Amino acid sequence: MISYFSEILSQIPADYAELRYHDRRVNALAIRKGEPETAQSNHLSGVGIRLLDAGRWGFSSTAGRERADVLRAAQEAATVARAMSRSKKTLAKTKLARGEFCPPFKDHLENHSIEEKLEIVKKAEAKARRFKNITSAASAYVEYFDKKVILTSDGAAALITDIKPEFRIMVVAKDGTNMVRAFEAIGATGGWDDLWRYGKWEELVERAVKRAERLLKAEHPKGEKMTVILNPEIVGLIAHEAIGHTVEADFVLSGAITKGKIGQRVASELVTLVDSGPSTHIPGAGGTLLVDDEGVLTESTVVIKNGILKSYLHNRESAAEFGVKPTGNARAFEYSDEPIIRMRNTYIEPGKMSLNELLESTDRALLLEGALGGQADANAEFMFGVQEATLIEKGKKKKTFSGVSISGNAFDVLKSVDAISKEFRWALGSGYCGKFQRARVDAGGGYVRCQAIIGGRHG
Amino acid sequence: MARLLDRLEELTKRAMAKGADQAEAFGQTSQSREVWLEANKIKTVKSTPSKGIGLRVIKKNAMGFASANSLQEADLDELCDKALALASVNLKDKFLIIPEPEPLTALKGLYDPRLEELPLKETIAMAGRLLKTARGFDRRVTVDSGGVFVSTSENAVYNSNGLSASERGTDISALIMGMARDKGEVSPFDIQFDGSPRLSQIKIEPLAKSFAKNVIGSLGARPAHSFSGTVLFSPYAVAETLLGTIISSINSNSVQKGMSKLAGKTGTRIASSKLTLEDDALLKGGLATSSFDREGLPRRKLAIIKKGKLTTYLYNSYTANREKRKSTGHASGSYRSLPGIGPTNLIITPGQATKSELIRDIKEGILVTRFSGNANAITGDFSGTVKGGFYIKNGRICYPITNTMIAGNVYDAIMNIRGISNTLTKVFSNRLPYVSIAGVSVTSG
Repeated sequence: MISYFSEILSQIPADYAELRYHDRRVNALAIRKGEPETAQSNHLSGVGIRLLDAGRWGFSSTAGRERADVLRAAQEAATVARAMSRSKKTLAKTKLARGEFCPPFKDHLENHSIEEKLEIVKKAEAKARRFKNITSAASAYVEYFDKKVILTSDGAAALITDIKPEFRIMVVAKDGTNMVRAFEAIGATGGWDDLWRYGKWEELVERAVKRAERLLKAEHPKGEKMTVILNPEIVGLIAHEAIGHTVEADFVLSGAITKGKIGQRVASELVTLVDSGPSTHIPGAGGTLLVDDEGVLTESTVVIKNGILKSYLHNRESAAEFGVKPTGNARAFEYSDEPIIRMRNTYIEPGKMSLNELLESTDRALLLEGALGGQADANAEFMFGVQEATLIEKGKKKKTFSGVSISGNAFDVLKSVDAISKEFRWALGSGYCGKFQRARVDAGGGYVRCQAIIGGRHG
Repeated sequence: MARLLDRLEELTKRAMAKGADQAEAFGQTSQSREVWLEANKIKTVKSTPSKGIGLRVIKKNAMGFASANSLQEADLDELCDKALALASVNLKDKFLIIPEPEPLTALKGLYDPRLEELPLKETIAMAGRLLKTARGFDRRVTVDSGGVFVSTSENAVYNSNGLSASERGTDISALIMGMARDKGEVSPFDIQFDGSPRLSQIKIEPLAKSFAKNVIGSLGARPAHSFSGTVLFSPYAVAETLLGTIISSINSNSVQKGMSKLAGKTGTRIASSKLTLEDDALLKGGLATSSFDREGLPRRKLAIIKKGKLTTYLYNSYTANREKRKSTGHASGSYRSLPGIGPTNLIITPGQATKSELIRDIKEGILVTRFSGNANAITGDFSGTVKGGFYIKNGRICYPITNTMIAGNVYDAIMNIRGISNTLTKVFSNRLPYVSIAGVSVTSG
């Protein structure tokens, strides 16, 4: 396949040309309250062509992989590029990927039949509804099988296989007119064993049900600035949403708050924040990417080291502009998307103390668990929802709150970090990040204690 | 463009020949040209053709679905086999149905030949004007991203009951997002969008100006203090706080599956009598306007909340069949998924007061330009940060605010509406007013 596309690429005249063949098969199964919600199989296949011609970018794509269609797309990319004004854009040179790439996995998803997967989705949803107070539930299993060829006119030639399964369960609990929901979701890169590495489906269902039962009795907290303990999911959300986006080099160039801050203290010295292509610490992270969509070999990019801002996240164009090495962050979700700067697996390095020690040394704090959606801003102001907040007093769990969101300036929050636990976990593997196109990402860390604003109610 | 419909007919017939009891094929083709802005520059031009078919089959009361981005003869068999294989293992559901055809009325104004023929140079020039107007407004404005996007598309449905429908459309949209930077200060992000099926209806300069005005106006913000008061939501903030929860809870699938707080509430008061909400799929110039839905059934104008009373949920043919009623024509989605349920162009009926009168009416409160947060559709709880907010005291806007969160409950909030503005703003496909709501918690400091 590499030689077939290489020959086509050699026919495309431009200062720089990039050809990306992407074949994707997605299977999805979902059940809601005992009835089938979906059973579907999608196939998406095509070639995206991107050209740089006298500093002008052009992009086009075609479904399928026929030679004539690919050349026609290249012609269209050249035509649209020429409609713009010339510029001095260049790409940073780096070691480009050559050969075959496949993340490690033991038990291939294809060893498990569609019947077996459907049975799990069915049983999970049914199990949830057998609990008292659980009035409805929904469960789903989704799997992505990707095959890619990435070729660039300056030497990248990679054949990439990637597999990403995910599973989720959502439950609704009701008590009189009071109605709450809770969910658990897991996603991985790799095989069947990677998907269930943090617990089998039965455990995920039980966790969601127990949380819903606690939320039924929960109160709304009072809004205030206070000490919080973030679980790995929420730590992942901060690392990704609130810090990660502000260090994407395209965002930095537009004037994000991190502009000109390399080498400066931006966080407590306990904080080391990394965005990694490979899955560090524990295999199977959902955002795992071995080669990016510009053919750059990915790495573990240390963004903040012991509180000092060290690096932005780059593609080849921004790396050239900043005079640094590309970090392998150019990603495209589908063949018809052009690669843009995206995160991969973003996390805060675990600390030395145990979670127990961290809790015991806490006078009064809210333990925040279960990530809901979140957003960040150019000035690092962030906000996101959490499923559940538990009041900790003198190391003991006292009370559950619901309807909680957390906000603050991410860098202020990171400066206030005074403890990080050693229990590292990938926690957002079923997450998608949206930036004009989607990307599968993961994020995580240990438990982190810091100060933040809790959104709540007044009288 | 009879070809797309021909392919769908062929696919449906093949699925029936291979043993389906009922089958439906939905196809889409589109050609889009996008000029993207990034970091205060025109970044790239993207030209993408796209096409695809989704096949839904029902066999022995079980459903299967398969899609592919190909209209090739050779791929049709694979689609049939995959969909039928999924149906053969799926759970049975006696309410599954592929709808019978209903008469359709063709809509005018969905297709603008000027857009199909628009030279790329002109689209690039429009993107240039978007950038220049925003940057020219004040040199502290910085455009992070955005662009001008033009597309031509065709949607078609064919099913084994003889339903056959196709429609062509065009649209143009402009998007601008970014912030203002003044020395070390970075303002909150603002996003402005305009879109229309017709070239003559897109307004580049006003869009760029309101973006620039918003980001400059939110510089120099400081925290307010915590209190419970009246919040005036901008049309965008109305969409971000209230609309999502309402849309999710009026979805008949959520209602039937025990996931909606509005279950059993039709005919009852769920909101202030000031609130009337309609879904108008036939709205002239609406971005979501079409003559038929994802299942090929006729679109319509439908009142959802009438003077505070819930009048109906939104149905596709499956959820309608469960209640032995007719679909409201709200089957939604692309060729890549089964027909879901969704609104089209949502319109809140304008009220009496001007925006300034609504502000004058507030003793202590805030104006929320944008809301960034979460709304839990099941409980109705919303909580999040205020973007581009202003503190209001004794009927006057005092200063821009930062580090401020609001929290409340959508179901309570729509009961506590104090006023609705007499003008509407286009928010994507929707038309929404300013809405002021009493008793919202504000946390700041």
